[in-house]
Parts: sequence; C-alpha cells; structure tokens
Amino acid sequence: MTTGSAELPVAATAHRPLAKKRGRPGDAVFHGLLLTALGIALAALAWLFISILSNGLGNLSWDFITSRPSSNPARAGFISALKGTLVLMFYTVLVAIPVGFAAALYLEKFASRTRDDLEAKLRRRERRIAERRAAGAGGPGMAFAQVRLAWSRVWVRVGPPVNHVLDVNISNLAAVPSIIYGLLGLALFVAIMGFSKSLLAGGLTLGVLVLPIIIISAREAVRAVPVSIEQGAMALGATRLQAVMRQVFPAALPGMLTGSILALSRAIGETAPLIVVGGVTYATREPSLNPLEADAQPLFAMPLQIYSWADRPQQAFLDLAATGIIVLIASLIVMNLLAIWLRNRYTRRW
Amino acid sequence: MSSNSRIGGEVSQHAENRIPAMEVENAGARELVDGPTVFDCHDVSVQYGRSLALTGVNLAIRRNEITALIGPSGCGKSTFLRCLNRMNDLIPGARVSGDIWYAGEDMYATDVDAVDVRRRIGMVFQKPNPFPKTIRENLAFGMKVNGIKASPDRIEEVLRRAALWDEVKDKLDDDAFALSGGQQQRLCIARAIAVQPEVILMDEPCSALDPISTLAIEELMRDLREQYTIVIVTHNMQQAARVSDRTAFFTVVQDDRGRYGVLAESDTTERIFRAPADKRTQDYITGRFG
Amino acid sequence: MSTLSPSPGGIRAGRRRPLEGVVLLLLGAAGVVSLLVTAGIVFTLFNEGSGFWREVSVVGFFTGTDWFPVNDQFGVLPLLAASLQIAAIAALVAIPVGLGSAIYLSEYAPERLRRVVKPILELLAGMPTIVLGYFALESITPAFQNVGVIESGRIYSMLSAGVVVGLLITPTIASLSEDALRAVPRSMREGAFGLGATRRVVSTRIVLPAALSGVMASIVLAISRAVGETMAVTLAAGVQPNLTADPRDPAQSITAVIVQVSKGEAVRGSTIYESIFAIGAVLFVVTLLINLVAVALVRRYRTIYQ
Repeated sequence: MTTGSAELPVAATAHRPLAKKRGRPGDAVFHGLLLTALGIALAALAWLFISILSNGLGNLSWDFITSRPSSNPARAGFISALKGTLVLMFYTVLVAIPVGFAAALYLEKFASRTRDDLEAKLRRRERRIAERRAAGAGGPGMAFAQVRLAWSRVWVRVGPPVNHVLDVNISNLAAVPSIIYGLLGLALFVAIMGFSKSLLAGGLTLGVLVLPIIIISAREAVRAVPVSIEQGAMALGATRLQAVMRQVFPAALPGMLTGSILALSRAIGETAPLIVVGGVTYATREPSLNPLEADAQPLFAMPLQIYSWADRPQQAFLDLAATGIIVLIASLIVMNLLAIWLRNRYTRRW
Repeated sequence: MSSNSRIGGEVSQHAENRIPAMEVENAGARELVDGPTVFDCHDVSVQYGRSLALTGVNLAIRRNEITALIGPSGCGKSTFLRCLNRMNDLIPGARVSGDIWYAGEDMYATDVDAVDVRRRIGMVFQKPNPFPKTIRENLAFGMKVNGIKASPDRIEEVLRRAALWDEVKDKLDDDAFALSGGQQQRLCIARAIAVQPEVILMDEPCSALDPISTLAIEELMRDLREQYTIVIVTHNMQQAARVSDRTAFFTVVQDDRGRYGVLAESDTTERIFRAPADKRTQDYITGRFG
Repeated sequence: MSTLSPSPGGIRAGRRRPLEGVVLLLLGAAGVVSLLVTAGIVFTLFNEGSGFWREVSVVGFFTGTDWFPVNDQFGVLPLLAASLQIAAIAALVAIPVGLGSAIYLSEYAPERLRRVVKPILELLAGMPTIVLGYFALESITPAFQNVGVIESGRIYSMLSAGVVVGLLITPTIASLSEDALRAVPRSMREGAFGLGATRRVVSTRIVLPAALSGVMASIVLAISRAVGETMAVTLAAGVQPNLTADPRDPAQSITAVIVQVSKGEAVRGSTIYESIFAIGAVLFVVTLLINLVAVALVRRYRTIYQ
C-alpha cells in the first residue's frame, strides 16, 4: 500500500485526489446562528416558566383554589374566577360547536363543488322535470321541483364565487385581533341585544371569537375522511346528505372534537375581549354555575382575575397573579392532553 | 484491499493514452477494452435504520463506459447508485459499510470531504428537479458553488453539450418550470455537466419522460460517454441494452434478514443479454420475473 | 321485477325529500354565519362609532398628534405609532429567532429533536397573552433595568412590550415557516447537494427562496398578530399616549386605549365610548390589509408545489 502510493505521482494529476474534509467557516457560523436562534426561543420559554413558578408556587394551595377574591392578598383566592370561566366555556361551546361543525360540513362537502358539478346537477334536474311533465305530473310536488330548479339555476352562477368569498372570509376572521371581537360583543350583545355586562355576553363573545378557528380545524377533520366512505354509502342508496351525516360526520367527529378542544384552550386564556365586553369587575361573590342565570352574573373569569392582580402595584398581588397563571396554564395543559388523548384514541389512519 | 484499488489507480494513468484511440461509432459497435476502474466496490452493504437494503456488492465500474444497473424494484439499484456519490449520507439513519474506492482512494475514509465527492460525481435524478429559478440561474447555481464563472459562453457550451441550446437559447431567463419534462431533464443533465464532474450518476433519468425525450437523452448519454463515466439505473431493459456497455443485474432476496437487494451478476451488456450466467438474470430478462 | 323499464313513479322520478332540504339549508346557514360575523364586525365598528365622527373631524383624527380625551383631543397618530413601533420591535426579535429556528428544524435538526421541539414552540404560541404581559412586567423590564437599557424606576416601555410580543409571535413564524420549508420537495435539495452544495448553500439559496412566499406569509401573519396584540402590550407599555421615537419610553397602543376605556365606566353614546369603536375600526382595517397580503402570499406558495 505504501509502495503503491509512492509510485503513483502521475495518477495524482490524472485524478486529483479527493479533498480532505475541511472546516467551512461560513457554514459553521451559519449553523451556530441557527442553533442560537432556536436556543433563544427555548431559553425564553424556560425563563418564562421559571419566573412564573418562582413567583407563584408559594401561594399555590387548595385554599387558593377554593377561596373567593379578597382585598387582602393573604386570603384572596381563585374560585370565582374558575366558576366564571366554566360558565363562559359553556356558552362558548354552545355557540361555536354546533355552528362550527355544521359550517365545516357544509363548506367541505356541499360548497366545495365546482361549477361543472353544479351544471351537471342543473341538467339532471331539468331533465327530470321535463320527464315528469311529459308523464303528466303536477300539483305541489311539481311546484317544489320547480323551486329547486330555479334555485339550481341561480346557484350555478352564484355558488362558486360565494363559496370562494366564504373561504377567504373565514381565514381572515381567524386573523382578526381578539379585541375587535370584544368590540363586536359589546355592541351586539350589550348595546343592541340588551344583555348586561355578564358571563352570558362574555361567553357568546368568546363563542363568536373561536368560531372561525373551529370551522377551520373541523374542515380539516372532514377532509381527512376518505371520499370512498361517502361513495360507499351512496352506492348503497343513501343520498349525499345521508352519506355525509351518517358516515362522514361520525368518522370525522374525533378530529373535529380535538380541534375544538384546542380552540377552546385558546378561548380560556382570552382576556382582552372580556375586558371590552364587561370591564374589570371586582367580584367577591361566587358566580352561580347555573347557565340560565348567566346574564345576572358579572363577567369574571380566570384571565380577568389575573389581570386585575397583575395591574396592582403591590408585589403580593403580582405574586397572586403568577399563582393564577399557574392554574390557568395547568388547565390549558389538561385540555391539550385531552385533545392528544382523543386524537390518539380515535383517529384512524385511512 | 487497498493495494487492489491502487492497481486501479495505476491502470488509470496508462489509460490516459489509450482512451483517445478508442474510436467508437455507437454502443452496439463498440469494442470494450478493460479500461481503468473508476469505482471499485467491495462488499458494499447499506442499511436504513435497522432494515438491510442491500448487501455484498462487489463491482468495478470502468472509465468512459456506461454501466447500467438493472433489476426488479426493491433490488437496491438506486440505493447502490446513491452510495457512489455519498448521497446516502444525507438520509438520516442510512449506513454504508464495505469499501468503495474512487480512483484509488477510499471514498468513505473519515477524512474525505463528502461535499467534494458530490462535486466531482454528478447526479441526475429520476424526476427532473430543476430549481424554481430561471434556466440560466439553474446552470449558474452549481457553477458558482464550485467556483466556476458562469459566463454566457460557458452556459452556451453546456447547453449545447446537453442538446438543449437550440430550444432554449431565446429564453434563458425564463422559469425552468416552463420547460417540458424532457427539456427539464436535459437541463438537469446540463446543470450536472456544468460543474465539470468526472462521473455522472443517473437514477432512472427517463422514467418520467415520453419516448421522444427518452431517445434524446439516450443519444446524449452516448455522446457524453466520450468524456465522462456514466452509471445509470434503469428499469427499462431495452434502454440498458441500447445504451450501456456493461450491465449489473441486481435482484431481491428474502430471508431471515428481511427483504434486501444483492448483485446477481455483472458483465458486458452483450453477454448479460445474450447469455446471462445467473438463472435469475435470465428469468428477469426473458420476462419471467419482475 | 321482470322488466327494468322506467315508470313515472320509478327510479328516475326522484323522491321528494323536504326534510333533506331543511337540513341542507341549516348547514348552509351555518356556513353563512361566518359572513354575518364579518358583516357584524364592520357594522358595529362603524355604527357604534358613528357619533364619534360627528364630534371629531376625520382630518383631525388622522393627523392629530395628541390623544387626550379629557381635552377633546382625539389624534390617532400617537396610538397608531405606538402599535406599529411595538410591532416593529417584535418583528426585529421574532424574524431572526423564528426564521433561524425554522431553518434549523427543517434543514439541520435530527427528526427526533424536531418532534420534541416543535410542540414546545407551539406551546409558546398557545400561551395566553396575559401571561406574556405578566412576564414582561415581572421579568423582562427588570432585566432591561439591570443592564441599564431602561432607567430603573420606569415600569412601562415599548421596548419590553416589543420584546415580549416578539416572543409571542416567534412560534408563529417558526412553525409556519418550517411548514413552508418542509414543503419544498426533497428532490430539489438533492439536486443541489448532488452539485456539491453545502447544507448552508442548499438552505439559503435553494430551499429558502423556493419557500419564500410561505415564509413571508408567516411573517406577515405574525406582524398582524403583533399589531393587534393587547394584553401583553397594555401591561408592558403602559396607558399613557405618547408620540415618541424612543423605544424605551412608555406609550399607549390602540389596543391599550380600548382596554383602558373599557375598564372605566364609559357610557354608551359618550364620545369616549364611541372613540374605541373608531380606533377599533382603524385597527381592523390595518390588520385586514396585512392579512390580505398574507392570504395572497399563501395562495402563491400553494400553487407552486401542488
């Protein structure tokens, strides 16, 4: 081997030897910068957790969770805020889930049809009516068919652009700042509909706030169900609607719920829209958990309690805010774990 | 083993004088001389994670020849090709064992710069993969990376070598995605030539193309053989027979180590197709298998 | 059974299904609700704020440099400037950190690391903004005071607000950019590696340009979020309107004014009540424009690789 290499000077010119591994300073620096960036992001997160835990752990106790708010920081607790949040979430779910799921099914399964599909449908309806007229049919059935035909004619033109607008609109709504939803809630539920600045108004506002997020995630869940399921049902004689409601919807449901829980975990921490709708109250009494009494309960929830503590100058209250944050983050983590569990438990790979 | 490959290197210097003497009209009429080896592969195995993809490959690839790697899908021919320019390094969990000597040097030695290996051993991929840039920028990218000035003359030259110049000379600053599939693949070949490699590896370069584009690229390969060593993976046996000088036949083995590829035999293309020594080769070529 | 010829009551006539029509109508109505929400936002912002425009001149509103409702001075400039300045500081923090993390995770990190780190970053993205406001107040501002950037005793500053909002939007940029980078086909990377490019060159000259519209969209969306961010900004930058170029100064953003007014008992119909709808409308229009840019960018990037 050594003798061989000594005799091969010419080979070296014919075939330049392979370059030795060398440091490339530019590449090393670049790699270092990228790692630094990621390091900063993770370090900031760690710093945040440490700072909140170190300020807030001292107050964390069962008493803190079960006590009412108080002007004495040593006695102040979180129970009113927790109950307020529960009532808020009830109304948020009540508004956002039915509307969000229905909208997702509609947009994904009925509105996404192309102009060609709609035209084919129109032709089918026209043919069918002509046949029935030829067969001498009449009466209310015929009138109903005429109405549907007229609707088809309009929808062929209007449908695709309307659906496009709906699409763009939803992604825009999801990016509207949450405080704007607060203004909407204040004007719509309090000023116009005349609710008091209550848990009801706040819950409805949060419902509207998370609606676009729920629609987007639910659409994804619906989209993940293979078309073959629907076609299989239709091949057995189900109508399209039956196929969607009895096959696609149940199959998509776990995914839809997972997305909804994640959306709710965003709603639970929302502060700004609640302040706009209800101001910052200093509730000392515990709100009733009865949803029917929600309009009589002042708007109060975990993030509002945290804000009112954090906004005070005394360190004792600032530390209480950190304790409240720990409880808030703990509930977020529980919700996220629930979502992950649901996804792993029920989501099928098609 | 290392001395063995040194011999390969030694032969290559003699070859310097011999190659211009090889006047070849076309692949069929070409008379093969046992030229210097460019790649000497000994007992090459590849693992992806825990699964074995390919094992025990011993193969010599000679200079200024077109070597075709054929075999049924899953036989590891593409995997083997990717060993030859250390492309497998980029796949997490991939491990290459055995020895691959490139012109007398251990290509996988720990002190060898894999980036330099890939600069000198170019690659053309299964699906045309131009960058989302203009035609000119596609060529200039590799040249700049390798410190070659991307002058208009040089660009014209490589496009002519890739038989693409006449089709694109008026639209060098158009998006490369606007080209047809066959043109895109020739652009990718031009891109590979532009960095002045010593070897060109082609991984089923025509599988995504129509017959006319395929023909153009085969012609191009025969043309390029004069200057480069070409290794081509193909699932198209007619193509292997048409363009290659030597053929290596890979096959799939299934046993308690899993399903993996092995090299069944390698020889001149003529012998592989006329009188294969291995029964599996014969079955495959006559269409009884795969 | 013996013949399959169609009859008027048979297979081709089609049954009437009125109930189906109703259900479909309900589903469609739900689809339209989202449109009503947008309409509601636009309507309330302009309707509830309509009285404001009778009291305050449009020109005065957009050119006035003082926001001092007690004196009937309603100039939106200091608020808008504070919002944009905080968003700019946030972008300065979040673009390098977020994009660097995205490139690292997509091009360099082993798969196992990526699978651990990405959910952690998304955890930061899901953090309630009140938490980050608290963090700014309790940790970031004191840290700036310790190193002498902000004079001690000053509680509020745009710098702290901007930095914390930057942290808040970093995961948005990191996560969405990473998705865009990973959407670049592997064949394109291999093509570049095959030409002898190093990982840095492949990342910066091939992958990043190919994913540029997706990356830009993530940045634009993040900035829109920063402009509309409320709690962190209110807690960290304070509630004192201030037209200043010095980021160390406190200054009240549009969102902070809305919070401050809402906390008090502003009577419906008063100019101060109406003013929050007016500046809310400004905020809505600004973020809407930014979002439309993002939507356009996303659309472009979808068309390239699908």
